[in-house]
Amino acid sequence: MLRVELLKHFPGFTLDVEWSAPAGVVALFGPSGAGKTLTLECLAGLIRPDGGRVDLHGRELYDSVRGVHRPPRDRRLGTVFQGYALFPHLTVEENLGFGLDRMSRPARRQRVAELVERLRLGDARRLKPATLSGGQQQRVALGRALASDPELLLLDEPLAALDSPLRRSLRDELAGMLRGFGKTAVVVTHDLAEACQLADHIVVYDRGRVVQAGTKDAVLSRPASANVAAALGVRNVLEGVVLNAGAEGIQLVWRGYLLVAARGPSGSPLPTPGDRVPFFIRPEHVRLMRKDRYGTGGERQTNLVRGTLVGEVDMGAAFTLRFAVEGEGAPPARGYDLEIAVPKLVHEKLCLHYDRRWTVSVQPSAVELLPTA
Amino acid sequence: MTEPAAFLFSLAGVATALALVFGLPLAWLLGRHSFPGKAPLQAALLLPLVLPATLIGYCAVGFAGHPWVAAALGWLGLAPVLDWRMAIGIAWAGALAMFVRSAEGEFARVDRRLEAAARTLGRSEWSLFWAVTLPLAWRGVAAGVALAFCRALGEIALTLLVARALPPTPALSALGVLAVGCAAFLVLSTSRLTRAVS
Repeated sequence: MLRVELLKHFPGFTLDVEWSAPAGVVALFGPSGAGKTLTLECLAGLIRPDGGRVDLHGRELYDSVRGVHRPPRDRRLGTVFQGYALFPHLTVEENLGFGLDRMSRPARRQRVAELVERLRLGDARRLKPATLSGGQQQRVALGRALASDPELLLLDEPLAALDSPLRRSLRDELAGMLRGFGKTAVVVTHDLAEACQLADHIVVYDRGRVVQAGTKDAVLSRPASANVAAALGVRNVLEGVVLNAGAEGIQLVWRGYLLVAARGPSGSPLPTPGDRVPFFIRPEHVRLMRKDRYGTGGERQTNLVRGTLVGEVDMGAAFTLRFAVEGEGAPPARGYDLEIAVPKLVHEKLCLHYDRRWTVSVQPSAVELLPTA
Repeated sequence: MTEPAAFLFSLAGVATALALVFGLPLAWLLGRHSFPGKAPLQAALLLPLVLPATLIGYCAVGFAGHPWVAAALGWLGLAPVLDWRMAIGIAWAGALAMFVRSAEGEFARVDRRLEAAARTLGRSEWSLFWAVTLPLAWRGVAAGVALAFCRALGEIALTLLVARALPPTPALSALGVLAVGCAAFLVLSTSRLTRAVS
């Protein structure tokens, strides 16, 4: 168990966070400037916080009340820095063995040989970092951090420096290695896909504070507030007025349409009629009603909304459509209400280039309510 | 002193070695840290480079020859004349300035994350200086040593020459004291200048 409680003031920025995580991989997720890297530096002991405590499996790394501040070398941790920070003047083997200077020479040589073998760096072991591929550099950085068998592994944006195809394959590799590590690892990232693939737990940061912490599934499926939803990059965060709320569902009015949500916000009481509540609908959960079938099947005819496609963004394999609703009230300043994700094939089949007026539907289970505050 | 060249070279060598011993921590301090009094210190270090070596020689002879200074030096047990020890001292100041100028920038360029990485890998500050910082800044250090030696050589030759040619006279003493005063003023004003600029 890793328990973290940190307070650090800078002019114009305050880090004030508290979270804990069981053994496994924890992702610190949030926009840049939210304090994620600062947290990592405090965990590593490179920066001394103004207050709080850090406790790893009952071992105190920092405690402001008792005046404990262990230097980095006594914390038994391994760090993978952003951009890796490999020593440019040392070979792969020397980089791997850099943290083992307290071992005897033969023991160190054996440990380095083990790492070279495990990380498939045999061909590169006498090369300098500048001549290595991105994948090899990542493996050296990980190997160097893992060499002394640390209790805690810290990774700062481990994939940030890479371009997209390489990033994908290295993410797979990193995920595999982190699973094999078996102890606590903290990964800083601003990429949601990265956080999802690498971590079991997610701590969401925003402007120096933790806005939500929990298991990956809990955070992803049920953001704790409109803020978290925004930080997670959730699209289509809207606001409606509650008409009726009960165990069987919640009825909302939004832009003059009646929407039914299957359940209330997580961890909060049901809203009462008349409340304004934020909710969101994932772009992939909005369905275009095919005109040739419209009106035949009854089961999908809940949460129907009429409107016009006013734009689309080519995302590669899919389109993100921009849908302006015809209804009461003014549309948002950006000119559309909903984002709808459709695969390219569907886009072509439905002739969305020409046919712009549509009725869309949303399953009640896909209308996700957020707590008000 | 049968071989003046060898004598000159060995004096310059001593001055360079002393410059390295004092200059290495100084360059590291100036390159990696900021602290109160950093700007005046940098300006003072710069002086031997800005002032022509001849002038420094003159000043040294004159300053040491001033009756009050001579008395003070005598009280400290130092001879008020320019001998080889003083020549080394003057050369050392120039060599130190050269060395620090060259090494300081190189120390400043060393990526701090590499030092942070060394810390998290269990190294002490002392150990990481020798294993990371110095090897990465060695070009600047080596260049500094070479420059320092050249400077020391030139300065020693000049100082000794001047010392032989000019026995301290009252006029020279006055010039020396004036020059030292000007130097002090220069240090103070440059440090204010650098503070205004930065």
